[in-house]
Amino acid sequence: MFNDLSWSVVLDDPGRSFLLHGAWVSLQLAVLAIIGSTVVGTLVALGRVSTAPALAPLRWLLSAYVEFFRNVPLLVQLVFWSFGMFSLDLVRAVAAPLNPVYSNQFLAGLLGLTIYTSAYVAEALRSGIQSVPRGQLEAARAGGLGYWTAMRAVVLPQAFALAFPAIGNQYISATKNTSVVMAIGVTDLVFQAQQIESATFAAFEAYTAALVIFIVICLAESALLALIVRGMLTRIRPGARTAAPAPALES
Amino acid sequence: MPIIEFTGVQKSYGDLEVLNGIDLSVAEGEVVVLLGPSGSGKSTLLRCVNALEDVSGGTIVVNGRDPHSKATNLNELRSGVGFVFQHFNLYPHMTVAQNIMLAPVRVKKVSKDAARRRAMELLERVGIPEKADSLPTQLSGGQQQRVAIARALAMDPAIMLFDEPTSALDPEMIQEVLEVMVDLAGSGMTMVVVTHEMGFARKVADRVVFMDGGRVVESAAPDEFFASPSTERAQEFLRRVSHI
Repeated sequence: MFNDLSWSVVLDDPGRSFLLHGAWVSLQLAVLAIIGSTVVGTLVALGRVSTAPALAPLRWLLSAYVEFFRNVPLLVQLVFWSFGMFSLDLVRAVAAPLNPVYSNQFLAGLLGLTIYTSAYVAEALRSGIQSVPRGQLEAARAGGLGYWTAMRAVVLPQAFALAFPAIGNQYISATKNTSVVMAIGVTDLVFQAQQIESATFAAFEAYTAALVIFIVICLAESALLALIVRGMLTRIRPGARTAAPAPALES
Repeated sequence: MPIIEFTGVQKSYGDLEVLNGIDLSVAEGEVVVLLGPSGSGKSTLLRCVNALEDVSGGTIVVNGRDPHSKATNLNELRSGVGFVFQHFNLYPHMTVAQNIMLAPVRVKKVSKDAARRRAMELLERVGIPEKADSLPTQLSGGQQQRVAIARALAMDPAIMLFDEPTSALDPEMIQEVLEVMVDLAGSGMTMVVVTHEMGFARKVADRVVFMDGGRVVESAAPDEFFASPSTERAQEFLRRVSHI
């Protein structure tokens, strides 16, 4: 019954190089969004657990950010960044120096994906920070470390280890979510599969190839993350018994 | 000139008055043991000294500076005050040596080599140099608390504060921690110790301060305090803690 299939449209050139090129675009998008959302998510989480009264407006703003971007569909966000923001001359001018390497569609997709994923990473990390026993920050502060130094050297390494299973899930989600950028014209893996389909009418073969490539990428990523989690947690988890967990890092 | 002086210190959480006007001074080199029932404000008072807790009223002067004044460099003040917690609070992601080296390297900008040498000296002093490269979770409770003491000493503090340092320990590990503290007291360190170890108070304290209901009820030399406490409340407390 599969006699009518012609796998050569995806296994041989030009189909193969179309797919590989698309996979490379998707992979870049995933890796850059993961790096970006880790940086942004960490800053947002740190802002949200801050306690200085002067930072209250910042905390309000960050909580609004998290709620907003978690409650708007990703596709709508991507359309907004691409057709909304990138229609503005100012935004196009700012992005212009990057255009030799990345198209505006790619940049809009990366921006949207990063901002969306950051909101989730921030929440995962915030709960990780709040799971670190309060005594850890107190011990570091009592030793004379400033708040930010104590957070960086003592609290964040433990918070990342505790939150990493949840953060890792967001990384996988971000990788899968890269497929949505086709809707704004990024020449990603799905886009290339569609190109093959429209040129050869081999829809089954083209989309099966895209599916297989995504599974390979995501399973490899899962395995890598599991390895990192195990390394991180063996140090921290038994240590949790040295003190009772605190409900929150207030005051 | 006292090294720590509390004047009318008050602390409340909403309607709950935890400290009700504490006047107390600790002289340099003095070992003061704070005794009293749970909820009497001992730990809170101790935590106010290095501003782990805010005060609601009154003043504290530590080493000539007010930890609760905005003008005070709190990190610098805290560097001169070692604090030992009931639950040790060692950093689980760092080795024993790294725990001890962190503050000297980050705050005092001591070189890693010098900090490591100092950490080894301190581990020698608390009796566990062979544990330098272990993780805290690989240590017994008594060993962890000795590391915590070494960590506090690494900043060469003028004052050491102990918040129920043996309360979380198995009974047979209490002795090894107390021995380190006795040794420290013998070296002339100024110490304020919240504890329920009456033997330690009797043997090592220069003065016993008995608190109840957020007030200092009695302050006396240990011989005097344990033999004939002058207040009804202290007599009752001692009756209840001296089982049998």
